[in-house]
Amino acid sequence: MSTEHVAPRPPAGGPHTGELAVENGWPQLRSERQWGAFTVFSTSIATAIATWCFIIGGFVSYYLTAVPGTMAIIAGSLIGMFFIVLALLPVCTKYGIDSVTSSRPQFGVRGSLLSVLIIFGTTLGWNLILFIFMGRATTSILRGFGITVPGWTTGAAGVLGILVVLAVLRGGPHKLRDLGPPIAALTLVFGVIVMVLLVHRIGISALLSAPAVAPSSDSHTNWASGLEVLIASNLSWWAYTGGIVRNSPSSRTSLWSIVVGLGLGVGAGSLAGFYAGLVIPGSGGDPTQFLVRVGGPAIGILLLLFIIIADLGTAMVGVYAAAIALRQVPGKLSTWSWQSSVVLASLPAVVLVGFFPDVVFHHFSTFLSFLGVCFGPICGIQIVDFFLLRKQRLDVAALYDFSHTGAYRFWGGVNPVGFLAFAVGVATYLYLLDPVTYQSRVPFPYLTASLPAVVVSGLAYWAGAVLVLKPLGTGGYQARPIKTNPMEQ
Amino acid sequence: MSARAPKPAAMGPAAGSAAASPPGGAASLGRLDGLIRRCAALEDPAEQGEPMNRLDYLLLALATILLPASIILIGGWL
Repeated sequence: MSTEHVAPRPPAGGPHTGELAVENGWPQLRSERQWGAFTVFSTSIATAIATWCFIIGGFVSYYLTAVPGTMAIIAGSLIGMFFIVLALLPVCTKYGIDSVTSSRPQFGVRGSLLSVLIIFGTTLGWNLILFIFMGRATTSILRGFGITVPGWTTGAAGVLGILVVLAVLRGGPHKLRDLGPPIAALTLVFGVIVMVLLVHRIGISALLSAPAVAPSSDSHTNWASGLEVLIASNLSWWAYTGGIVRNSPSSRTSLWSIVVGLGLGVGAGSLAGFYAGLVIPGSGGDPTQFLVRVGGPAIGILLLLFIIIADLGTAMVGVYAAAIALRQVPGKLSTWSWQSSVVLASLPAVVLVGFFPDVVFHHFSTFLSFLGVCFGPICGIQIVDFFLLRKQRLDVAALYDFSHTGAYRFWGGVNPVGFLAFAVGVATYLYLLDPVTYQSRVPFPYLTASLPAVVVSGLAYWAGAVLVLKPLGTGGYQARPIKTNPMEQ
Repeated sequence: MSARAPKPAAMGPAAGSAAASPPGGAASLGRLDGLIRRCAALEDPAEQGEPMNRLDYLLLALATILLPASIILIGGWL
């Protein structure tokens, strides 16, 4: 089915409500959704490929050599996307809703504040890393040219990047659709050039013979660690995916756009960091200084362009997702204008990037592990709930119904079963893998940590729903007529 | 769709929007009405997004479970 240009019909939501629905996170009607496969793919690519790929790939170089590491990166990327697709694509595309709203049937209409906090924290954290990376790259490349720059240049360049993102998104969420394809095209072209240059300068034989930086004595643990980094990184797409696919009228056309764009996009991008981590001692996956040193000013400018374009494209989607999430918070926040929401979503980044870039950058590994801890359990719970318990059918009006009779109100707007299952999943992950030290326990070498966390949280939610929620008749699991008016009592 | 009068206090984000919109009256009620109408419209399968079919799920499982499992097995064997 071709969906690139959907013929507009009179909006059932009323005139001029299409853009409002996008900004407020309201459900979008199929007839209003304008994103086809190409737009979803280009936005996914623009989101996935950024300098965080250097860091992700750099982590894998601690455990695996070139050939198995390449295989683990590709395999881990695909496995992570399996859970993201099942948790979000069917429900978000069916009802035109974002990730936060899609979690209300599991956490409750007020309990979904957990999702808001996780999305806000995640997108803020990723954006911090991207802006700081952009600032550091600017500084190191300027120094590579022999230009003396003061220490605050890193923070200033990062803040400048944030201001550019703010200026673009002030125009509204549709800017993403307009800018996604050109950013994706430029990112891909520059990315391929950087990869070719890197492999050419390093040399294939040096790459193939390079040892892992700090491997474990157990090969299973090395494989599991490499896989875990990519699975956890791709599970973090939970924060972004709903906001992307809700704009598409078809799950079928979005499916491969996000599997390839987000999943393989970050996998392919991470290879540059992985190879750099293997053969450039102390780089941690960042090939910037190496390429400037061996390639000179021309390559420096090329790299800087790649980093700026790739990171700005990703940061734009991050700020958009954070702004949408913030507007789901009941109360004052939801009444703010789109422009104010975007500023609020970016404000902490301005402070942290401007004043504490080094402190933030050096805690990235803990942050990355935190992502896997949170998103695996959420995916497990959502998959079980939507497919097994609710048979792929939600009460749309109840997603926005905060009244006492709302189907997803549970107790005070919070579903304790969802929170308990989430906690069980997080505990499972933490038992198997310490996200700070990467010390692991059996069966981590055979199962990783994210996969058991997904399964255990899903099982815990299923048991809680069957044993508690259904018998008590709460949560909308019982057969009852679905309300079409969220305020109907 | 219910014929009852809307009770803005029952809704979270939407209610907040309605209560705080500057003139307060027609514009905010229009926004609420927009949400109500689109919720009702989404009960119609024609307004819902196209779902994945069995073949899509099968291909997804092949590409994201079977293929990576094969890659891991081959990588371990190498």
